[in-house]
Amino acid sequence: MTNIAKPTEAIPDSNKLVEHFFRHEYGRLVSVLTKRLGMRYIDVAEDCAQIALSQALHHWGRNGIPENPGGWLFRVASRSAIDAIRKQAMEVRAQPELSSLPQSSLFAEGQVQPSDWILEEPGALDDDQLQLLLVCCAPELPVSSCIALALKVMCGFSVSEIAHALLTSESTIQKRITRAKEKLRGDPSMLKIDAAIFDQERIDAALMVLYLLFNEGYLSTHTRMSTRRELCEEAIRLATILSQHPRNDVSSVYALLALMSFHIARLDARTDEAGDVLLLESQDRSKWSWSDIRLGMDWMQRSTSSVQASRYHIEAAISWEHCRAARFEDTDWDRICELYDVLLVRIATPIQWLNRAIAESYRSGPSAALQIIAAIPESEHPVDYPIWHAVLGYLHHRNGDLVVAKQQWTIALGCTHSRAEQELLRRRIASCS
Amino acid sequence: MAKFLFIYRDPAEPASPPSPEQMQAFLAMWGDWFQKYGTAILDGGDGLHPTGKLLKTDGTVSDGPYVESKEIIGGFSVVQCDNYDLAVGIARDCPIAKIGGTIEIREFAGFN
Repeated sequence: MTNIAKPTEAIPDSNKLVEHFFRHEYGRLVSVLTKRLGMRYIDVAEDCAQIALSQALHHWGRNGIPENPGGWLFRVASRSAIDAIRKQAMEVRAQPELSSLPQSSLFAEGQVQPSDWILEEPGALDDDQLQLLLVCCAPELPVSSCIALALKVMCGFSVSEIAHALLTSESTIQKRITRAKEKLRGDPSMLKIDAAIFDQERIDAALMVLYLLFNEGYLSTHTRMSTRRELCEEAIRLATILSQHPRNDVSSVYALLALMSFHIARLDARTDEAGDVLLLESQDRSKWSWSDIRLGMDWMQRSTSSVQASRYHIEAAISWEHCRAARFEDTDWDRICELYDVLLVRIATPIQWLNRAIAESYRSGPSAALQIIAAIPESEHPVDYPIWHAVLGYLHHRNGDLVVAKQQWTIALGCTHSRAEQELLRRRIASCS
Repeated sequence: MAKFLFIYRDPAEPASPPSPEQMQAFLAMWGDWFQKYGTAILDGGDGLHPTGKLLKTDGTVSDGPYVESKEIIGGFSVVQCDNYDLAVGIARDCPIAKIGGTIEIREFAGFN
Protein backbone atom coordinates (compact mmCIF):
# COMPACT_ATOMS: atom_id res chain seq x y z
CA MET A 1 0.00 0.00 0.00
CA THR A 2 1.25 3.42 -0.76
CA ASN A 3 1.31 6.27 1.71
CA ILE A 4 -0.76 4.99 4.61
CA ALA A 5 -2.63 8.13 5.41
CA LYS A 6 -3.06 9.42 8.89
CA PRO A 7 -6.22 11.21 7.96
CA THR A 8 -6.77 13.18 11.12
CA GLU A 9 -3.43 14.97 10.82
CA ALA A 10 -3.04 14.84 7.08
CA ILE A 11 -6.41 16.26 6.22
CA PRO A 12 -6.00 18.25 3.08
CA ASP A 13 -7.37 21.59 4.05
CA SER A 14 -8.42 22.76 0.65
CA ASN A 15 -9.76 25.94 2.18
CA LYS A 16 -6.17 27.03 2.49
CA LEU A 17 -6.05 27.60 -1.24
CA VAL A 18 -7.20 31.03 -2.23
CA GLU A 19 -10.12 31.32 -4.58
CA HIS A 20 -9.25 30.61 -8.24
CA PHE A 21 -5.82 29.37 -7.19
CA PHE A 22 -5.78 26.59 -9.81
CA ARG A 23 -6.92 28.93 -12.56
CA HIS A 24 -4.36 31.56 -11.81
CA GLU A 25 -1.59 29.02 -11.33
CA TYR A 26 -2.47 27.62 -14.73
CA GLY A 27 -1.85 31.08 -16.21
CA ARG A 28 1.46 31.40 -14.38
CA LEU A 29 2.65 27.97 -15.50
CA VAL A 30 1.68 28.53 -19.12
CA SER A 31 3.47 31.89 -19.03
CA VAL A 32 6.68 30.59 -17.56
CA LEU A 33 6.82 27.53 -19.83
CA THR A 34 5.89 29.42 -22.99
CA LYS A 35 8.55 31.97 -22.21
CA ARG A 36 11.13 29.18 -22.08
CA LEU A 37 9.86 27.03 -24.93
CA GLY A 38 8.80 29.76 -27.32
CA MET A 39 5.38 30.59 -28.64
CA ARG A 40 5.39 27.63 -31.03
CA TYR A 41 5.07 25.33 -28.05
CA ILE A 42 2.27 27.08 -26.23
CA ASP A 43 0.15 23.92 -26.58
CA VAL A 44 2.86 21.86 -24.88
CA ALA A 45 2.96 24.49 -22.12
CA GLU A 46 -0.81 24.26 -21.70
CA ASP A 47 -0.71 20.44 -21.59
CA CYS A 48 2.03 20.50 -18.95
CA ALA A 49 0.12 23.01 -16.83
CA GLN A 50 -2.95 20.78 -17.06
CA ILE A 51 -0.92 17.70 -16.09
CA ALA A 52 0.57 19.50 -13.07
CA LEU A 53 -2.85 20.57 -11.81
CA SER A 54 -4.27 17.13 -12.37
CA GLN A 55 -1.43 15.52 -10.40
CA ALA A 56 -1.91 18.09 -7.66
CA LEU A 57 -5.56 17.20 -7.46
CA HIS A 58 -4.80 13.52 -6.96
CA HIS A 59 -1.84 14.02 -4.67
CA TRP A 60 -3.05 16.90 -2.53
CA GLY A 61 -6.50 15.40 -2.25
CA ARG A 62 -5.04 12.48 -0.34
CA ASN A 63 -1.94 13.90 1.27
CA GLY A 64 -2.77 17.49 1.99
CA ILE A 65 -1.57 20.67 0.38
CA PRO A 66 2.20 21.18 0.37
CA GLU A 67 3.72 24.21 2.00
CA ASN A 68 4.60 25.85 -1.26
CA PRO A 69 1.87 24.74 -3.65
CA GLY A 70 3.05 27.07 -6.41
CA GLY A 71 6.56 25.65 -6.30
CA TRP A 72 5.21 22.09 -6.29
CA LEU A 73 3.17 22.77 -9.43
CA PHE A 74 6.10 24.46 -11.09
CA ARG A 75 8.38 21.46 -10.54
CA VAL A 76 5.84 18.97 -11.87
CA ALA A 77 5.04 21.12 -14.88
CA SER A 78 8.73 21.69 -15.70
CA ARG A 79 9.41 17.98 -15.51
CA SER A 80 6.58 17.15 -17.88
CA ALA A 81 7.77 19.86 -20.25
CA ILE A 82 11.25 18.32 -20.30
CA ASP A 83 9.77 14.86 -20.88
CA ALA A 84 7.69 16.19 -23.75
CA ILE A 85 10.71 17.84 -25.34
CA ARG A 86 12.89 14.73 -24.96
CA LYS A 87 10.19 12.57 -26.47
CA GLN A 88 9.90 14.94 -29.37
CA ALA A 89 13.67 14.97 -29.85
CA MET A 90 13.77 11.17 -29.87
CA GLU A 91 11.02 10.99 -32.45
CA VAL A 92 12.95 13.37 -34.66
CA ARG A 93 16.05 11.22 -34.35
CA ALA A 94 14.16 8.01 -35.08
CA GLN A 95 12.46 9.49 -38.11
CA PRO A 96 14.90 11.76 -39.92
CA GLU A 97 12.18 12.98 -42.25
CA LEU A 98 10.69 14.77 -39.27
CA SER A 99 13.82 16.79 -38.72
CA SER A 100 12.64 19.44 -41.11
CA LEU A 101 9.80 20.17 -38.70
CA PRO A 102 10.35 23.02 -36.31
CA GLN A 103 11.98 21.76 -33.15
CA SER A 104 11.67 23.23 -29.76
CA SER A 105 13.76 26.35 -29.58
CA LEU A 106 15.02 25.10 -26.25
CA PHE A 107 16.22 21.85 -27.71
CA ALA A 108 17.36 23.17 -31.05
CA GLU A 109 19.45 25.97 -29.71
CA GLY A 110 21.13 23.51 -27.39
CA GLN A 111 22.25 26.34 -25.20
CA VAL A 112 19.75 25.92 -22.43
CA GLN A 113 19.98 22.74 -20.40
CA PRO A 114 16.83 21.54 -18.71
CA SER A 115 18.65 21.67 -15.41
CA ASP A 116 19.10 25.40 -15.86
CA TRP A 117 15.49 26.05 -15.37
CA ILE A 118 14.00 23.13 -13.58
CA LEU A 119 15.50 24.37 -10.34
CA GLU A 120 14.54 27.91 -10.91
CA GLU A 121 11.91 28.61 -8.31
CA PRO A 122 8.98 30.76 -9.27
CA GLY A 123 9.12 34.23 -7.91
CA ALA A 124 9.74 36.67 -10.69
CA LEU A 125 7.00 34.95 -12.62
CA ASP A 126 4.92 38.05 -13.06
CA ASP A 127 7.40 39.21 -15.62
CA ASP A 128 6.64 36.13 -17.70
CA GLN A 129 2.93 36.71 -17.31
CA LEU A 130 3.34 40.29 -18.40
CA GLN A 131 5.19 39.22 -21.52
CA LEU A 132 2.68 36.52 -22.44
CA LEU A 133 -0.12 39.02 -21.90
CA LEU A 134 1.51 41.36 -24.40
CA VAL A 135 1.87 38.45 -26.82
CA CYS A 136 -1.82 37.60 -26.46
CA CYS A 137 -2.80 41.23 -27.05
CA ALA A 138 -1.11 41.34 -30.44
CA PRO A 139 -2.24 44.43 -32.35
CA GLU A 140 -2.60 42.32 -35.52
CA LEU A 141 -5.18 39.99 -33.96
CA PRO A 142 -8.88 40.79 -33.74
CA VAL A 143 -9.74 42.00 -30.24
CA SER A 144 -12.32 39.24 -29.78
CA SER A 145 -9.56 36.65 -30.34
CA CYS A 146 -7.24 38.41 -27.91
CA ILE A 147 -9.91 38.29 -25.22
CA ALA A 148 -10.60 34.59 -25.77
CA LEU A 149 -6.89 33.74 -25.88
CA ALA A 150 -6.10 35.72 -22.72
CA LEU A 151 -8.96 34.07 -20.83
CA LYS A 152 -7.72 30.66 -21.94
CA VAL A 153 -3.97 30.83 -21.45
CA MET A 154 -3.62 33.57 -18.81
CA CYS A 155 -6.74 33.04 -16.72
CA GLY A 156 -7.14 29.27 -17.04
CA PHE A 157 -10.73 29.34 -18.28
CA SER A 158 -11.77 26.28 -20.29
CA VAL A 159 -13.28 26.81 -23.73
CA SER A 160 -16.72 26.00 -22.40
CA GLU A 161 -16.30 28.44 -19.49
CA ILE A 162 -15.27 31.21 -21.91
CA ALA A 163 -18.22 30.48 -24.17
CA HIS A 164 -20.54 30.56 -21.18
CA ALA A 165 -19.12 33.82 -19.86
CA LEU A 166 -19.14 35.60 -23.21
CA LEU A 167 -22.58 34.28 -24.17
CA THR A 168 -21.39 32.58 -27.32
CA SER A 169 -20.79 29.05 -28.58
CA GLU A 170 -17.88 26.76 -27.75
CA SER A 171 -17.06 26.29 -31.42
CA THR A 172 -16.81 30.06 -31.93
CA ILE A 173 -14.41 30.39 -29.02
CA GLN A 174 -12.40 27.35 -30.12
CA LYS A 175 -12.02 28.84 -33.61
CA ARG A 176 -10.90 32.20 -32.24
CA ILE A 177 -8.27 30.59 -30.03
CA THR A 178 -7.00 28.19 -32.69
CA ARG A 179 -6.63 30.94 -35.28
CA ALA A 180 -4.95 33.29 -32.86
CA LYS A 181 -2.45 30.62 -31.86
CA GLU A 182 -1.74 29.71 -35.48
CA LYS A 183 -1.03 33.30 -36.29
CA LEU A 184 1.24 33.82 -33.29
CA ARG A 185 3.07 30.54 -33.87
CA GLY A 186 3.86 31.51 -37.43
CA ASP A 187 5.23 34.89 -36.45
CA PRO A 188 9.04 34.64 -36.40
CA SER A 189 9.29 37.36 -33.76
CA MET A 190 7.42 35.04 -31.41
CA LEU A 191 10.12 32.34 -31.39
CA LYS A 192 11.66 34.04 -28.46
CA ILE A 193 9.64 36.15 -26.12
CA ASP A 194 11.81 38.82 -24.61
CA ALA A 195 11.91 42.42 -23.58
CA ALA A 196 11.53 43.52 -27.20
CA ILE A 197 7.83 43.00 -26.70
CA PHE A 198 7.63 46.02 -24.42
CA ASP A 199 6.66 48.60 -26.98
CA GLN A 200 4.00 51.25 -26.58
CA GLU A 201 1.86 49.93 -29.43
CA ARG A 202 1.49 46.58 -27.67
CA ILE A 203 0.72 48.22 -24.36
CA ASP A 204 -1.99 50.30 -26.01
CA ALA A 205 -3.43 47.16 -27.62
CA ALA A 206 -3.35 45.37 -24.27
CA LEU A 207 -5.14 48.28 -22.61
CA MET A 208 -7.91 48.10 -25.19
CA VAL A 209 -8.24 44.31 -24.79
CA LEU A 210 -8.51 44.62 -21.00
CA TYR A 211 -10.92 47.55 -21.28
CA LEU A 212 -13.20 45.47 -23.50
CA LEU A 213 -12.80 42.36 -21.34
CA PHE A 214 -13.92 44.44 -18.38
CA ASN A 215 -16.90 45.75 -20.34
CA GLU A 216 -17.86 42.19 -21.25
CA GLY A 217 -18.39 41.62 -17.56
CA TYR A 218 -19.71 45.02 -16.62
CA LEU A 219 -22.20 45.62 -19.41
CA SER A 220 -23.12 41.98 -19.94
CA THR A 221 -26.64 40.86 -19.30
CA HIS A 222 -25.39 37.49 -18.16
CA THR A 223 -27.82 36.01 -15.71
CA ARG A 224 -25.15 35.02 -13.22
CA MET A 225 -23.68 37.95 -11.35
CA SER A 226 -20.74 35.78 -10.25
CA THR A 227 -19.74 35.23 -13.89
CA ARG A 228 -19.87 38.92 -14.67
CA ARG A 229 -17.85 39.81 -11.61
CA GLU A 230 -15.26 37.18 -12.51
CA LEU A 231 -14.66 38.74 -15.93
CA CYS A 232 -14.26 42.18 -14.34
CA GLU A 233 -11.91 40.80 -11.70
CA GLU A 234 -9.79 39.01 -14.30
CA ALA A 235 -9.50 42.25 -16.30
CA ILE A 236 -8.35 44.04 -13.15
CA ARG A 237 -5.89 41.25 -12.30
CA LEU A 238 -4.33 41.36 -15.77
CA ALA A 239 -4.24 45.16 -15.74
CA THR A 240 -2.42 45.00 -12.41
CA ILE A 241 0.17 42.73 -14.02
CA LEU A 242 0.45 45.22 -16.89
CA SER A 243 0.97 48.04 -14.41
CA GLN A 244 4.21 46.36 -13.29
CA HIS A 245 5.69 47.09 -16.67
CA PRO A 246 9.33 48.02 -16.17
CA ARG A 247 9.62 50.52 -18.97
CA ASN A 248 7.55 53.05 -20.82
CA ASP A 249 4.81 55.17 -19.45
CA VAL A 250 2.28 53.12 -17.51
CA SER A 251 0.17 56.01 -16.26
CA SER A 252 -2.55 55.03 -18.74
CA VAL A 253 -2.58 51.56 -17.12
CA TYR A 254 -3.09 53.22 -13.73
CA ALA A 255 -5.90 55.29 -15.21
CA LEU A 256 -7.54 52.16 -16.61
CA LEU A 257 -7.27 50.52 -13.18
CA ALA A 258 -8.88 53.59 -11.62
CA LEU A 259 -11.70 53.41 -14.16
CA MET A 260 -12.20 49.69 -13.51
CA SER A 261 -12.19 50.18 -9.73
CA PHE A 262 -14.80 52.96 -9.88
CA HIS A 263 -16.97 50.73 -12.06
CA ILE A 264 -16.66 47.47 -10.17
CA ALA A 265 -17.57 49.42 -7.02
CA ARG A 266 -21.00 49.94 -8.55
CA LEU A 267 -21.43 46.53 -10.19
CA ASP A 268 -23.71 44.94 -7.60
CA ALA A 269 -25.94 48.01 -7.46
CA ARG A 270 -26.50 47.92 -11.23
CA THR A 271 -29.14 45.23 -11.08
CA ASP A 272 -32.14 44.67 -8.88
CA GLU A 273 -33.05 41.40 -7.21
CA ALA A 274 -34.78 40.16 -10.35
CA GLY A 275 -31.59 40.77 -12.36
CA ASP A 276 -33.04 43.78 -14.20
CA VAL A 277 -30.69 46.58 -15.09
CA LEU A 278 -31.09 49.63 -12.87
CA LEU A 279 -30.25 53.05 -14.26
CA LEU A 280 -27.88 55.23 -12.29
CA GLU A 281 -30.70 57.32 -10.86
CA SER A 282 -32.46 54.28 -9.36
CA GLN A 283 -29.40 52.64 -7.82
CA ASP A 284 -29.06 52.20 -4.09
CA ARG A 285 -25.79 54.04 -3.50
CA SER A 286 -25.29 52.41 -0.12
CA LYS A 287 -24.55 49.22 -2.07
CA TRP A 288 -21.52 50.78 -3.72
CA SER A 289 -18.23 49.34 -2.51
CA TRP A 290 -16.26 52.08 -0.81
CA SER A 291 -13.13 50.00 -0.59
CA ASP A 292 -13.12 49.71 -4.39
CA ILE A 293 -13.75 53.45 -4.76
CA ARG A 294 -10.85 54.16 -2.42
CA LEU A 295 -8.67 51.82 -4.47
CA GLY A 296 -9.72 53.70 -7.59
CA MET A 297 -8.69 56.97 -5.98
CA ASP A 298 -5.25 55.53 -5.25
CA TRP A 299 -4.83 54.41 -8.84
CA MET A 300 -6.04 57.80 -10.05
CA GLN A 301 -3.47 59.51 -7.85
CA ARG A 302 -0.71 57.39 -9.37
CA SER A 303 -1.97 57.99 -12.90
CA THR A 304 -1.36 61.73 -12.68
CA SER A 305 2.40 61.25 -13.10
CA SER A 306 1.94 61.62 -16.84
CA VAL A 307 1.62 64.92 -18.63
CA GLN A 308 -0.43 63.31 -21.35
CA ALA A 309 -3.95 62.26 -20.36
CA SER A 310 -5.18 59.10 -22.08
CA ARG A 311 -8.81 58.32 -22.82
CA TYR A 312 -8.75 56.17 -19.69
CA HIS A 313 -7.81 59.19 -17.59
CA ILE A 314 -10.84 61.04 -18.87
CA GLU A 315 -13.20 58.10 -18.49
CA ALA A 316 -11.90 57.48 -14.97
CA ALA A 317 -12.56 61.12 -14.14
CA ILE A 318 -16.14 60.81 -15.40
CA SER A 319 -16.64 57.64 -13.38
CA TRP A 320 -15.21 59.37 -10.32
CA GLU A 321 -17.74 62.20 -10.71
CA HIS A 322 -20.53 59.61 -10.40
CA CYS A 323 -18.90 57.94 -7.42
CA ARG A 324 -18.44 61.13 -5.47
CA ALA A 325 -22.06 62.25 -5.76
CA ALA A 326 -23.83 61.25 -2.56
CA ARG A 327 -27.19 61.33 -4.31
CA PHE A 328 -28.11 61.28 -7.99
CA GLU A 329 -29.27 64.91 -7.67
CA ASP A 330 -25.82 65.88 -6.43
CA THR A 331 -24.12 64.82 -9.66
CA ASP A 332 -22.02 67.58 -11.20
CA TRP A 333 -23.38 67.37 -14.76
CA ASP A 334 -21.53 70.49 -15.89
CA ARG A 335 -18.25 68.80 -15.08
CA ILE A 336 -19.31 65.51 -16.67
CA CYS A 337 -20.40 67.26 -19.89
CA GLU A 338 -17.09 69.07 -19.94
CA LEU A 339 -15.16 65.81 -19.55
CA TYR A 340 -17.16 64.16 -22.33
CA ASP A 341 -16.28 67.11 -24.57
CA VAL A 342 -12.59 66.45 -23.89
CA LEU A 343 -13.11 62.75 -24.59
CA LEU A 344 -14.98 63.46 -27.81
CA VAL A 345 -12.00 65.34 -29.21
CA ARG A 346 -10.20 61.98 -29.16
CA ILE A 347 -12.90 59.41 -29.78
CA ALA A 348 -15.88 60.87 -31.55
CA THR A 349 -17.80 57.62 -31.90
CA PRO A 350 -21.61 57.66 -31.96
CA ILE A 351 -21.62 55.78 -28.64
CA GLN A 352 -19.55 58.50 -26.96
CA TRP A 353 -21.88 61.14 -28.43
CA LEU A 354 -24.77 59.16 -27.01
CA ASN A 355 -23.15 59.22 -23.58
CA ARG A 356 -22.58 62.94 -23.95
CA ALA A 357 -26.25 63.38 -24.87
CA ILE A 358 -27.39 61.47 -21.77
CA ALA A 359 -25.28 63.75 -19.58
CA GLU A 360 -26.72 66.77 -21.38
CA SER A 361 -30.25 65.51 -20.75
CA TYR A 362 -29.61 65.67 -17.01
CA ARG A 363 -27.98 69.08 -17.27
CA SER A 364 -30.46 70.87 -19.52
CA GLY A 365 -33.22 68.46 -20.42
CA PRO A 366 -34.07 65.82 -23.01
CA SER A 367 -34.62 68.11 -25.99
CA ALA A 368 -31.06 69.44 -25.80
CA ALA A 369 -29.88 65.84 -25.68
CA LEU A 370 -31.95 64.93 -28.74
CA GLN A 371 -30.39 67.85 -30.60
CA ILE A 372 -26.93 66.45 -29.95
CA ILE A 373 -28.01 63.09 -31.33
CA ALA A 374 -29.69 64.75 -34.33
CA ALA A 375 -26.29 66.21 -35.23
CA ILE A 376 -24.76 62.74 -35.67
CA PRO A 377 -24.90 61.81 -39.37
CA GLU A 378 -27.56 59.17 -39.84
CA SER A 379 -25.18 56.93 -41.77
CA GLU A 380 -23.13 56.54 -38.58
CA HIS A 381 -26.01 55.49 -36.33
CA PRO A 382 -25.32 52.05 -34.81
CA VAL A 383 -28.72 50.73 -35.82
CA ASP A 384 -28.10 47.18 -34.54
CA TYR A 385 -27.08 48.36 -31.09
CA PRO A 386 -30.01 47.90 -28.67
CA ILE A 387 -28.75 50.48 -26.17
CA TRP A 388 -28.78 53.15 -28.89
CA HIS A 389 -32.52 52.66 -29.41
CA ALA A 390 -33.24 52.14 -25.73
CA VAL A 391 -31.64 55.49 -24.88
CA LEU A 392 -33.42 57.24 -27.74
CA GLY A 393 -36.70 55.81 -26.48
CA TYR A 394 -35.87 56.99 -22.99
CA LEU A 395 -35.05 60.55 -24.13
CA HIS A 396 -38.19 60.81 -26.26
CA HIS A 397 -40.23 59.45 -23.38
CA ARG A 398 -38.87 62.10 -21.05
CA ASN A 399 -39.56 64.66 -23.77
CA GLY A 400 -43.23 63.61 -23.72
CA ASP A 401 -43.16 61.98 -27.16
CA LEU A 402 -44.62 58.58 -26.30
CA VAL A 403 -45.21 57.52 -29.90
CA VAL A 404 -41.55 57.83 -30.92
CA ALA A 405 -40.46 56.41 -27.56
CA LYS A 406 -42.53 53.31 -28.20
CA GLN A 407 -41.12 52.99 -31.73
CA GLN A 408 -37.53 53.15 -30.49
CA TRP A 409 -38.11 50.69 -27.66
CA THR A 410 -39.76 48.30 -30.08
CA ILE A 411 -36.68 48.46 -32.34
CA ALA A 412 -34.46 47.89 -29.29
CA LEU A 413 -36.56 44.87 -28.34
CA GLY A 414 -35.94 43.45 -31.81
CA CYS A 415 -32.16 43.64 -31.53
CA THR A 416 -31.43 42.48 -27.99
CA HIS A 417 -30.98 38.82 -27.13
CA SER A 418 -30.89 39.39 -23.41
CA ARG A 419 -33.99 38.25 -21.59
CA ALA A 420 -33.51 40.78 -18.79
CA GLU A 421 -33.36 43.62 -21.31
CA GLN A 422 -36.32 42.27 -23.23
CA GLU A 423 -38.35 42.19 -20.04
CA LEU A 424 -37.44 45.78 -19.19
CA LEU A 425 -38.26 46.98 -22.72
CA ARG A 426 -41.62 45.19 -22.75
CA ARG A 427 -42.59 46.92 -19.53
CA ARG A 428 -41.56 50.27 -20.96
CA ILE A 429 -43.45 49.71 -24.20
CA ALA A 430 -46.55 48.76 -22.21
CA SER A 431 -46.25 51.99 -20.21
CA CYS A 432 -46.55 54.03 -23.43
CA SER A 433 -50.08 52.97 -24.27
CA MET B 1 -15.17 -3.48 12.39
CA ALA B 2 -14.92 -4.49 8.78
CA LYS B 3 -12.55 -3.21 6.14
CA PHE B 4 -13.65 -2.27 2.67
CA LEU B 5 -11.77 -1.60 -0.51
CA PHE B 6 -13.19 1.21 -2.61
CA ILE B 7 -12.31 0.77 -6.26
CA TYR B 8 -12.83 3.93 -8.26
CA ARG B 9 -13.87 3.53 -11.87
CA ASP B 10 -13.76 6.46 -14.26
CA PRO B 11 -15.39 6.52 -17.67
CA ALA B 12 -12.77 5.33 -20.18
CA GLU B 13 -13.27 8.42 -22.30
CA PRO B 14 -14.20 11.47 -20.29
CA ALA B 15 -16.11 14.09 -22.28
CA SER B 16 -13.47 16.77 -21.84
CA PRO B 17 -10.72 17.33 -19.29
CA PRO B 18 -11.90 19.26 -16.25
CA SER B 19 -11.06 22.96 -16.15
CA PRO B 20 -8.70 24.28 -13.47
CA GLU B 21 -11.68 25.77 -11.64
CA GLN B 22 -13.45 22.39 -11.65
CA MET B 23 -10.29 20.68 -10.43
CA GLN B 24 -10.01 23.07 -7.50
CA ALA B 25 -13.65 22.44 -6.62
CA PHE B 26 -12.93 18.72 -6.83
CA LEU B 27 -9.94 19.07 -4.52
CA ALA B 28 -12.13 20.89 -2.02
CA MET B 29 -14.59 17.98 -2.20
CA TRP B 30 -11.79 15.53 -1.34
CA GLY B 31 -10.85 17.76 1.57
CA ASP B 32 -14.43 17.72 2.85
CA TRP B 33 -14.62 13.96 2.46
CA PHE B 34 -11.46 13.33 4.45
CA GLN B 35 -12.60 15.82 7.06
CA LYS B 36 -15.94 14.11 7.45
CA TYR B 37 -14.76 10.49 7.44
CA GLY B 38 -11.20 10.97 8.62
CA THR B 39 -11.33 8.23 11.25
CA ALA B 40 -12.97 5.70 8.92
CA ILE B 41 -10.58 6.20 6.02
CA LEU B 42 -7.68 3.89 6.85
CA ASP B 43 -5.81 4.60 3.68
CA GLY B 44 -6.56 7.38 1.24
CA GLY B 45 -5.03 5.07 -1.34
CA ASP B 46 -3.71 6.38 -4.59
CA GLY B 47 -4.64 7.18 -8.14
CA LEU B 48 -3.60 4.86 -10.96
CA HIS B 49 -2.14 5.73 -14.33
CA PRO B 50 -4.70 5.12 -17.06
CA THR B 51 -2.48 2.63 -18.92
CA GLY B 52 -0.95 -0.62 -17.78
CA LYS B 53 -0.16 -4.19 -18.76
CA LEU B 54 -2.21 -7.34 -18.84
CA LEU B 55 -0.68 -10.79 -18.32
CA LYS B 56 -2.89 -13.40 -19.87
CA THR B 57 -3.15 -17.11 -19.08
CA ASP B 58 -1.27 -18.03 -22.22
CA GLY B 59 1.66 -16.04 -20.91
CA THR B 60 1.35 -13.16 -23.34
CA VAL B 61 1.49 -9.61 -22.11
CA SER B 62 -0.49 -6.83 -23.69
CA ASP B 63 -0.46 -3.10 -23.13
CA GLY B 64 -3.51 -1.28 -21.88
CA PRO B 65 -5.80 0.60 -22.09
CA TYR B 66 -8.16 -2.20 -23.04
CA VAL B 67 -10.74 -1.24 -25.58
CA GLU B 68 -13.27 -3.74 -24.30
CA SER B 69 -13.79 -1.93 -20.99
CA LYS B 70 -16.02 1.11 -20.79
CA GLU B 71 -14.54 2.16 -17.48
CA ILE B 72 -11.01 2.16 -16.22
CA ILE B 73 -9.86 1.78 -12.64
CA GLY B 74 -8.67 5.20 -11.61
CA GLY B 75 -7.75 4.67 -7.97
CA PHE B 76 -8.67 3.11 -4.65
CA SER B 77 -9.04 3.76 -0.91
CA VAL B 78 -9.40 1.56 2.16
CA VAL B 79 -12.24 2.30 4.56
CA GLN B 80 -13.02 0.79 7.94
CA CYS B 81 -16.55 0.77 9.34
CA ASP B 82 -19.14 -1.54 10.89
CA ASN B 83 -21.13 -2.70 7.90
CA TYR B 84 -21.91 -2.38 4.22
CA ASP B 85 -24.60 0.23 4.77
CA LEU B 86 -22.12 2.56 6.41
CA ALA B 87 -19.55 1.85 3.69
CA VAL B 88 -22.09 2.68 1.01
CA GLY B 89 -22.89 5.91 2.82
CA ILE B 90 -19.22 6.89 2.87
CA ALA B 91 -18.88 6.02 -0.81
CA ARG B 92 -21.95 8.06 -1.66
CA ASP B 93 -20.26 11.16 -0.24
CA CYS B 94 -17.00 10.46 -2.04
CA PRO B 95 -16.07 13.00 -4.74
CA ILE B 96 -15.66 10.20 -7.29
CA ALA B 97 -19.36 9.39 -6.98
CA LYS B 98 -20.26 13.04 -7.31
CA ILE B 99 -18.46 13.60 -10.60
CA GLY B 100 -19.89 10.68 -12.50
CA GLY B 101 -17.50 7.86 -11.59
CA THR B 102 -18.61 4.59 -10.08
CA ILE B 103 -17.27 3.03 -6.91
CA GLU B 104 -17.02 -0.70 -6.39
CA ILE B 105 -17.16 -1.58 -2.70
CA ARG B 106 -15.62 -4.90 -1.61
CA GLU B 107 -15.24 -6.18 1.89
CA PHE B 108 -11.87 -7.62 2.95
CA ALA B 109 -12.20 -11.36 3.57
CA GLY B 110 -9.88 -11.17 6.55
CA PHE B 111 -7.63 -14.10 5.58
CA ASN B 112 -4.70 -12.53 7.34
